[in-house]
Amino acid sequence: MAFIDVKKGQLQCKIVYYGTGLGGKTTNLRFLHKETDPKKRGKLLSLETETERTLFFDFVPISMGKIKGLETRFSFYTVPGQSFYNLTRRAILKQVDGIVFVSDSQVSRMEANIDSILNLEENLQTYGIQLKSVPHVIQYNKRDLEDTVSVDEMRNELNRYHVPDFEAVAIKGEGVIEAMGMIVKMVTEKVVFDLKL
Amino acid sequence: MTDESHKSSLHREASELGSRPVHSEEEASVTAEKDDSIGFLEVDDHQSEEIREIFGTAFPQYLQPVEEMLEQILTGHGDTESLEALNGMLSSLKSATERMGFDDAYKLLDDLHESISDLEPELGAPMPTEVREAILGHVIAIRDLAEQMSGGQVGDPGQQKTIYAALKDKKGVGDLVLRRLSAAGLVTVDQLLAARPDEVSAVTGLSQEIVHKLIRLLEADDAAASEEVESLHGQAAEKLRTEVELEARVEDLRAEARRLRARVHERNAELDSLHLGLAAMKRELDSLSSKMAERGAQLERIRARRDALSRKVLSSEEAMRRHECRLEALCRERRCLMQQADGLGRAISGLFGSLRKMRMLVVKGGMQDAR
Repeated sequence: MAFIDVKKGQLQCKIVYYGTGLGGKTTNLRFLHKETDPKKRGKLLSLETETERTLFFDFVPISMGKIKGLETRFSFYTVPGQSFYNLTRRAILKQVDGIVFVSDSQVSRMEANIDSILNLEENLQTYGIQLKSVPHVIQYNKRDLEDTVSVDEMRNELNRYHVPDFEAVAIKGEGVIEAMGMIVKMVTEKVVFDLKL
Repeated sequence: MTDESHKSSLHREASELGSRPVHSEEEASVTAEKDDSIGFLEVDDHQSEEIREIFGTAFPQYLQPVEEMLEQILTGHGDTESLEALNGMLSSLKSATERMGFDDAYKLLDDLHESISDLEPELGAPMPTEVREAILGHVIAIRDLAEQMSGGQVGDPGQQKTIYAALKDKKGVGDLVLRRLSAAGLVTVDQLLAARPDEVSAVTGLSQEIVHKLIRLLEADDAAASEEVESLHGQAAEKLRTEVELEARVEDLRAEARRLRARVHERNAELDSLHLGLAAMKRELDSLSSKMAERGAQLERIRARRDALSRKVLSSEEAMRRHECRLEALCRERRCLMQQADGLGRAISGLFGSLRKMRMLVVKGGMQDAR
């Protein structure tokens, strides 16, 4: 839930990168961190297992300029994608403002993608929220690999609410800024509307 | 959503909102490398609280196998291998809290780690009560802190059977494997049974074959699995254990190598920074040296001028001395001349006197003649 710090004149929003394990969420965040002006970003906090998989979460704060006189600060999180880290994933989703669902385009990961988006809906429901009411975008990552599912098929399986979606190769930065730009736009529009700014 | 015009419009929007868009594929590929350390935006109180809450909620899940291992060791059911595994798990948790800047959690974990560092567990030998109480006191403090961090939202993972408890006595499964599972956040039996073997393999570094075997071991009610458990006894079990241990050790070494590479990278960065500093200092030194050389030359010029002046002064003094000598000689000469003039004056006066006398005599003689 967006939070306004009146004293500091700040608007705080929370964006979560959700999706299956090994799907490219951390890669998205690393690319965003790298591409952002160092004056406008914080350090990238990344807690990994010994095999460099996200254990707890990744986090980076980024300042996004001013809206209606308020300095906007976005907290970008990734969740650990593996199914057994659900407790951590649920904790990270608390008070989320926007979600980027990072799916893996490989045929072998399609089932895991579907499980993950169902898990997202389930976890949101524990906070009494429905996915369709939360600004979100879908990213079809790893489009450069062979043996991928067609975008139409992925859209059909994962984009149930017809939200903006993007093809991506996160490791090369393709589709990363686009997805982030869109979710930031959707979240700020909703916040401005909800808070009557 | 994927047409070019829309993309460029989003690039612009993202750029306006604080992010620089990617310029080329090549650049993007390069920039996807790790560069976590640089960033000047401070994490504010709200964000800090949020991170603490998330960590506090998930933390007890990772703490549970630590507690169970401790219990094994304290009650005399553990050995030095168990202690080694426990040390590894605590180090992993300490590292996580340190990186997140949770000094309080780090300190408590460090205290616990410190308190078990001197233990020498032996199978069948329970630890003295005071040692147990002291160590469990640390555990309770950590749990309390986790509850405080999460704002009281900590779940109760203790109700589920842990992988550690289920597998610790199985032949063919060493503490190192259990540590790898725990370090990757795999704690409960339910978690492992519900997980995809490929995911477990990815996060633990264990092969999928081993993960499958572990899952089958956990499904102990399954007759086939039970048979396999039996068949794992003896040589086969020992072989599996060795394989697993070796693989885990290889992974440990790889992780160590990665850590070392990261340290080398850090040191290189430090070295680069030092080189830059050194180059700046060298430039400054060069500038100072050239200034010094300039000043030296200036000094030399001044010295030469001074020497020339000194020589001129000496020569002037010499000339003055010569002039003084000459003046003195002239004075002496003048005095001598004056004396001579005086003598001449006196002689002239004498002559004049003689002349007057002679004139008088002449006059007298003339008068006499006239008469």
